[in-house]
Amino acid sequence: MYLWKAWQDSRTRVVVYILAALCVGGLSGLQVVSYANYHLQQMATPPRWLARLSWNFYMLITFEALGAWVIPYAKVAALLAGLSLGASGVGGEYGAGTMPFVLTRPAPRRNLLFTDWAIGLTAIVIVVGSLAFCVFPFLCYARAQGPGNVLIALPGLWVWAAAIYGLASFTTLVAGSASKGLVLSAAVVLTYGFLPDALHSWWHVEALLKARDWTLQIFNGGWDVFFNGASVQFHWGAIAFWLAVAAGFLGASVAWIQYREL
Amino acid sequence: MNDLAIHTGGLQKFFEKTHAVDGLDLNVPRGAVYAFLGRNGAGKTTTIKTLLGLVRPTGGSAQVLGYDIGRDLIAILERTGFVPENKTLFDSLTPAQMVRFNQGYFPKWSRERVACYADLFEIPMDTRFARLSLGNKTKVCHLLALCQGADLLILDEPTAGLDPVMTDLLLRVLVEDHVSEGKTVFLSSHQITEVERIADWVGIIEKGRILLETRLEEIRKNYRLVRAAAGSPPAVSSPDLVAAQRMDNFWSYLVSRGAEEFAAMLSAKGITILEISPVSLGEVFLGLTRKEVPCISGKPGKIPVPA
Amino acid sequence: MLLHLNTSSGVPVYLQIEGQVKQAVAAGALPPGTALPSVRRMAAEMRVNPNTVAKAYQNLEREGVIRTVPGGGTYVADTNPGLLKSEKVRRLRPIAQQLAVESFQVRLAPADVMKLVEDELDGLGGKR
Repeated sequence: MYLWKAWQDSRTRVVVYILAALCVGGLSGLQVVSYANYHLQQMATPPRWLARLSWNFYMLITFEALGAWVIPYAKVAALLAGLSLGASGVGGEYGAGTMPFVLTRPAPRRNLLFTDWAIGLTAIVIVVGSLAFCVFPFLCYARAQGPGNVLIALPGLWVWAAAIYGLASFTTLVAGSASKGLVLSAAVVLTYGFLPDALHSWWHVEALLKARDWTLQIFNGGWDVFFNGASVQFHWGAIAFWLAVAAGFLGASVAWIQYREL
Repeated sequence: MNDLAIHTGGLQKFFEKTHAVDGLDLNVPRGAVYAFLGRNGAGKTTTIKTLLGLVRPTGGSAQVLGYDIGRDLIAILERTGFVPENKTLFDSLTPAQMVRFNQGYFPKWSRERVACYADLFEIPMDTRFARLSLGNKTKVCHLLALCQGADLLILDEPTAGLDPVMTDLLLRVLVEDHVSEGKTVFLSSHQITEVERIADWVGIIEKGRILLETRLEEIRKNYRLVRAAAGSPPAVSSPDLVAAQRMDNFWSYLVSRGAEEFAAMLSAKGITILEISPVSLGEVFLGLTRKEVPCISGKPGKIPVPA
Repeated sequence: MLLHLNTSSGVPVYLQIEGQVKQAVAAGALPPGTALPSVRRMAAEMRVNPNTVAKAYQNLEREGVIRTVPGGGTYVADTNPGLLKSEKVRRLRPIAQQLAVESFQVRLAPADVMKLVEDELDGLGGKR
């Protein structure tokens, strides 16, 4: 039924993203290992084989290091996957003219959205997750330590991606076509990114900037952890915020599709 | 109303600038083939959309197969096959995939019918929808609705885009597989001659209201065209006079009943009666909805409701 | 059994069906006892509403042209000479009307019209 159809529409995209994520993740892993090797070369005196046994080396190739590289990529991957998968949802049926057919199938309208979201969110979890997890082979090879911040950062990334997905899905629904939805959601994301800074620079309004940075704590755990040895935390508040945003978009989409006439 | 497949009571749908449906009272008996006729913009499509829950009425009530459109829409959709005016389906799927998609929704889906119709209508089942011609797209829409096991079929412009052979086949299939089994067919079409063959009820909508709703039998039995020759415009009025048309000294009057009496009345005024002939549904429709040309005098009377 | 439907003639469909069945019976194409197609099949073949066919069959049965067997099936009844005559008269009336109109046009006296018809009938000879 609709689940199958939604999967048909998305599957090429999802497969491409997973492959891309695997490539990016793999490259990140290589990057981590080569960085460690580079640092080794800087440590002049002890012979290499001895240096490899020292805890310094292991500290370099930890999951923390992985975090430094992977999280920025994961952020971009989450953004792109969220926007793209969200825009290819039910909303596109309006533009395609197939909505009268879809809405006259004997099923509650909200099921359309639940189906869409089920597929979209599963895809996002896989794409973002695969980016992080595919570097594990490299780290096992380098005998890295501890589970580290990647696993802790993942829930935050997932929830943020879900919120982006919700945004794109809702804007596509309201705008009636995938392209308009994408443009609108990209605009919202950029506004969210730049407006608080602009307000701060021009009008010295700090509140918005602080609020935004608080929500973006989920992306902490990159370089500052790596260089300063700060411990990575699970930012419950920010995660709850993005979860609420995602749920809000789902609720708004359901209300909209029930209300909208053709 | 258990014996009516569709019933509306004072149905209204107002948009910002127009009253698309303005007090519509529709009564479609179960098992009937109901021809829903009207000019473009008369409110046909809005009415159909309201019956299927695509549009919410501003006022009035409507029941389909005994279920209220506000409360039990899903029950209605389970039992109603719909062919929309715009024959668009999912571009990326093939008809075979569309069948797979659709059959999951309907427990009474018939695979035998799918095979039979796909063959009969010559539908290319493995070509993606985007690449199909309009005729084939229309056929696929019909396929999906006809195999559902529906109790009611709502068809909006079903023959638009079909070639004469396919139209003929469609009529046959409707009669044999649906009407003969007691299912109701609600047809909205501009092809009045084709619809007239299989219909037994007709409803004419104009400006959001029903102008005439009657059995086709009534029209055949009672509606007549009285053609007369008169030198000067005759002063005639009758509650049964539906429309009058003039060409030079010749007049034709469409009466809804009592044609003989009407002709006698004209004769009494010295007007020569040329012929009293039966009329087709198309002529009745035109008579009722044709734009009045200013030179016609003899105002059409109020349309009587047949007993 | 093939019937031809003329939708633009103004003659109601059920009357056309009745007329054509009666013609076929009269011409001997449907001998008594022949089975007629079911209402459903006839309606499908002709692309008309089954109620119309049902009505025609009902009328034909009432007039004794066909009979239905309990348990299904419709068959041509045994020939009824009285019925056939009324059918013949009915069939010829439009032609007679046309002849009357044409005679009026050319102003041929009624007596001459009758003579004309008799001559034609005599010409047919022993075919009656």
